Amino acid sequence: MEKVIEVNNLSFGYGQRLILENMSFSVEKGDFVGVIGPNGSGKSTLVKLLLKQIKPIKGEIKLLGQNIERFNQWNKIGYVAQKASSFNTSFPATVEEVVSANLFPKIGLFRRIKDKDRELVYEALKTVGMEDYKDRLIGNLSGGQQQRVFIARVLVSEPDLIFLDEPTVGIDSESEGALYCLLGRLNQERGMTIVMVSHDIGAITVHANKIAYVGNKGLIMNENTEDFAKKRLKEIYGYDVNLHANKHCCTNCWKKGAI
Amino acid sequence: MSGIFGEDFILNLGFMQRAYFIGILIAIMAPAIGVIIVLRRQSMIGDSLSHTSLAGVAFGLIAGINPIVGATLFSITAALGIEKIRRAFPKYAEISIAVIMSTGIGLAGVLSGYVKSGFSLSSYLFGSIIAISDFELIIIAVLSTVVIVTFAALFKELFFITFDEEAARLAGVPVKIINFIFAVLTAVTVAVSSRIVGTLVISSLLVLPPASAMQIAKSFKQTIVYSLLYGIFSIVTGLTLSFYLDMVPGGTIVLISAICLVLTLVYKNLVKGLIVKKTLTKAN
Repeated sequence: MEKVIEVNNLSFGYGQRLILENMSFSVEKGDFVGVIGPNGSGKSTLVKLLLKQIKPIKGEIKLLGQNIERFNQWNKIGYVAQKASSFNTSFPATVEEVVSANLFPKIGLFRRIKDKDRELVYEALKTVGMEDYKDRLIGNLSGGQQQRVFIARVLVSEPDLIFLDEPTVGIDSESEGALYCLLGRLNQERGMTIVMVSHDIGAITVHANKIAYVGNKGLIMNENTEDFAKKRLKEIYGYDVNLHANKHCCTNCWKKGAI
Repeated sequence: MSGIFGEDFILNLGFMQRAYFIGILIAIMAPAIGVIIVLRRQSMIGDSLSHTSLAGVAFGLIAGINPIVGATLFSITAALGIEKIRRAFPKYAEISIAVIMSTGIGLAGVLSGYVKSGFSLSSYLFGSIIAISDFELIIIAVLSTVVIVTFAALFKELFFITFDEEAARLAGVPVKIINFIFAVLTAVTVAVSSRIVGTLVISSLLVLPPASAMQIAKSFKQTIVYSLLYGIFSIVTGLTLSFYLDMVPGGTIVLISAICLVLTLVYKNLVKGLIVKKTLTKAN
């Protein structure tokens, strides 16, 4: 299988304190990786390293087969951040304007957005069931709806690999369930590789095919099987963990009125 | 010609034609740049640059070069300084602004002591509509056109960076280069506007029209368009009133902008009240 992420002997720390030490792993095309681990274990730091927002102390990162230092295909990478920290809710922008912005890699510098580009925006909004809200101000939507718009913004550039860093923080459980369903569909129907940091171990273990456990400065990745997950979770969290998740996943969960 | 359209009619006066021409260029340039500044929470940047521009004006008067040229050079240096300091203190944009503002005021204070008594700095504090020279007309027209054209060309990128700088960088937008260009555009806007509007009030022209526009706009594009309309209305009315009532143009323009903001807020509250009333009536 083609490797979309390759990490070798990666170390990172703040000052003298190492957070990640000699970490190595790889993610293959079409994987849905759930990244879990206790607070402060370095999950978000790992995502920042993979997005080149921060630099490692040592080690190598390859994205889509290219060393991250020379990586130039950022248009093939999508990123959905924790909603609360990422935007100003009183910003006067419509849903369509927000999603259109990410057409930049397709359109390029100086050029204007044309009608055929708007069709791509409409399609992306339709995928997340938000096409009727395209003229609404982004700040006037609910938390769940805003997060769907940010996912549409990522989808419009048709990425091969999507990173999500706890995208369900501050969202009600119904919207959260629908978000997992959508990600599962994108992964299975479009073959998108997904790497998602989540605190919701129950939900992520339902949809992900691989689970990456981050803890003790390292990362262990395994196929997602229930027995293995329970054993590993006990090692990481220090006590028995029972997994409960609603396995029902409606195919039309992002249609109008569902959220 | 006689009557109200006679030789002394405002639009027939050469110096007023120049003032209106430059005024409209400023009215397009300043609010457009201002929308981005306001949305980046850098509303005070105009003050910081304008005080440094004043030091540039004083330097120009001492060195015998045109004050607008001096103001532009000082303002660009200050804007680049702000950008540099901003990167050293991410998330504390106001530190860089405060550092450059106090340095600018200090420098302007020191340099003004060396300006010969025949020259007046005060016309650059509150602006002036009289005696705009051919050289100044050309330099202001050229610089304003460059700012407006560059802003229009980078509109989509500026929107993306302002809304979400990290996502813009990931999408391949050359964020550093565009931030650099925008810093220069802001500096030029402040420096050339100081001739008519004055250094003390130019920052209000960057902030007030966008503030009014944001109250009623339903999209980013509308925010820009309404800002320009508020800017043009304030400048044209301000210049006209300052001519007839013999008031300083900068002060008059800013007061009109402030009145526009108050009226917009009143209008918005009235509309909101009416909607609530309608909903309540329907519910009953």
